[in-house]
Amino acid sequence: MEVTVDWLRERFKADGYICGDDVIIPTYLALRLNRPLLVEGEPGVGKTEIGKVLARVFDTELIRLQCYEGLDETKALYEWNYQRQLLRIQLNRDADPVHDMERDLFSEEYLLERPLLRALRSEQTPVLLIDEVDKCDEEFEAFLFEVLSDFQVSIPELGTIRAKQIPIVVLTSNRARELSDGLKRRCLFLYVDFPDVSREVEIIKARVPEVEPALAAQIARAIGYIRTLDVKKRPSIAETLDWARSLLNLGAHRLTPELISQTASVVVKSRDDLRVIGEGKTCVDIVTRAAEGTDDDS
Amino acid sequence: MTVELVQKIVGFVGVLRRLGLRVGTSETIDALSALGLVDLLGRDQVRMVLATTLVKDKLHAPIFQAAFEEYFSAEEKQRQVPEELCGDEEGERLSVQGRPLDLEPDLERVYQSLESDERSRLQDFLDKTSQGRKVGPQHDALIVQLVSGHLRRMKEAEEKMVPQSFAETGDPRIDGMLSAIADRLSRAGELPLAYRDLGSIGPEERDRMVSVLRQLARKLATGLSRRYRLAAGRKQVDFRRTIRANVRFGGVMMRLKYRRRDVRRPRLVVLADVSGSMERYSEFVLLFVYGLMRGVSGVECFAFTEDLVRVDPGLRSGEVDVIGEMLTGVVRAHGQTTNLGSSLQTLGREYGDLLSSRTIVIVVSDTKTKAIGEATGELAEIARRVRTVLWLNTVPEDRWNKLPGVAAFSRYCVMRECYTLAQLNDIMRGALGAV
Repeated sequence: MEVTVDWLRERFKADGYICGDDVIIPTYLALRLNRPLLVEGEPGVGKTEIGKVLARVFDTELIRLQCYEGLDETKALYEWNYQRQLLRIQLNRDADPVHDMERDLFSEEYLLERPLLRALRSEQTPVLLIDEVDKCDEEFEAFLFEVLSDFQVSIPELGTIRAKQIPIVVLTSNRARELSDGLKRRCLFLYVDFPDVSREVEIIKARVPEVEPALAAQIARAIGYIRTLDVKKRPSIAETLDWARSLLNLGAHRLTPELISQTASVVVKSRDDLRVIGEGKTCVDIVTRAAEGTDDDS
Repeated sequence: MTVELVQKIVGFVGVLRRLGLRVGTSETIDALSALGLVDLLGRDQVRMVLATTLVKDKLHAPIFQAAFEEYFSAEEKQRQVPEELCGDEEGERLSVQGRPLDLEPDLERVYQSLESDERSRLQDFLDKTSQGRKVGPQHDALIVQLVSGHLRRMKEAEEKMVPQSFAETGDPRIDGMLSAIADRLSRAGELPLAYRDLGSIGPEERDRMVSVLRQLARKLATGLSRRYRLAAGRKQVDFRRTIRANVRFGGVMMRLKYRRRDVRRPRLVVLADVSGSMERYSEFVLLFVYGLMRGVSGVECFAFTEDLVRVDPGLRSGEVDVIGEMLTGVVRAHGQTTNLGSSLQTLGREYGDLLSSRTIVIVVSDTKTKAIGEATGELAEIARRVRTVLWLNTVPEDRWNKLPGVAAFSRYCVMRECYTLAQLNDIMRGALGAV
């Protein structure tokens, strides 16, 4: 089955991932060119979700490598099961000749597959999600080059392992630090920005369908306005949906300054930001902005 | 894939590179491969394909957008209406009493790139001033001179708004396009602040610039901080601790223990020239450097004109808003001209304890100083005592040949052009990441 732009667009929509061609086209190109897709953007805009959606769209396994500071090959690629090896040595001390045991000890039986190796050895094309790659250090980034360029890795005891099926690779980054040019060069680039009001309304309607359309529009406009304020962390789509669910649970039909003040902690996640949007005049401004806009938004 | 398409894309990549985007051959090949997968008649799709394959940083998106609009519009205009352009060319030129003015090509370009109402205003002015007066062809040269001066001032003001990396290539077609792209960016206000000449940032944009500057400094400091933390935890095996930890495994080295290496972060000593127009640049550089405090072991800042003055050692990143006032105070107290030699002498004599093998000395100056010979000697002496001297020259590199100080000072320092925030960030990342 050949992947086309239209097909991919429909499948994403059917899976509930609302986006425009600015996301579909780069994803399509990554699939057709067999290149990794590097997705950057603020936290909570739906970067990781792209990997998950692709796994569902292609009905395949999602293999996730969550990056963190200090991540190395033993956690990402493979490790030998030293404890089992040691036990084997102890148990067979007086039995098998050493040279046979050595061959056995470095065999598949004692190999612990980590996500990258699992992705390369998968029989079916998996989706390999390398999440928050900006959290790992530069040495690990350099290690990823061979995987991302040639879809192969070198294990001293086993030789070079090439991918049986080229995995669909999605890397995400929150831009906490600048990624190396070497990594960027090997990937296609996608920046996911916060959605505009009409798209955010679509997302709310898709994920929280019980919310009234007019309220959904108000929430989207309010969030759009809050993102322009001087807050340390701008509310993401996750916060938008949480807020919609919260207001639904409170039986709200429209936004009021009191409701905003009461539910501000759902939208922003720091004391300083709470002070910014919880302040009386700001709540009134948010309500005013939420009430503006056209019927087209809903 | 036709040869024409390949040439067009390669040409576009060339324009992007002139605009400061780093686009490699492999990305160009990706772009060509990707174009084969979409409808080439769909402008939006083509734009997205090129953006996905050629642009690897969100900060470059507005530059790419402007370049795309200009490059492919220019191609379309040339393809569609070449005769119109030729035919109407005379009518669009600036004229006096119906006679087209013979302007220099680059000034003609500046005029053509103006908004239509601005062009009309200029033409109206010429029409009114020459109406009913005894103005004849013999005055054309004078009028050209006057108009040229006006357009030249506009061009200089525009160049201050955009990085000099948009500088001319010598190819009129490309230069015209770069100029049009720069104009499009500056008029739309979309040129990222990080690419603007620091000296052109007015009071109304200062707060925004400081915000961008702080974000970049914080990001760089985080990276540096992490780098030094990791380096400190690596990677010589501590045998005694390893053996002790693995006795339980019968002596088999199951878990390795590493010796903690004392990785010492560099100390920064910043000497900022605050004479004349340098004050604005120096203020931003000092703000940036203070933002790095988390990533380095110490920051000491000095301002200099005729002599050196230490910027308040108690200043921390939260108090940087007062830096501008302090620098102004230095200028008032010590004058507007620069004497680098005297300033370096003071540094060596009174603050010598700051100068060690761990120190990176950063000089922010346009190299215009009195007594270049003396300054060179003092700089050589400082360079011998520290790890490195990094000179941030706020004058674009293509003008360095006109500055006598550059050749003299370059022998004892690493001199880089630095008049935008993006350049400052790159230089600091390279300088501090490499130690």
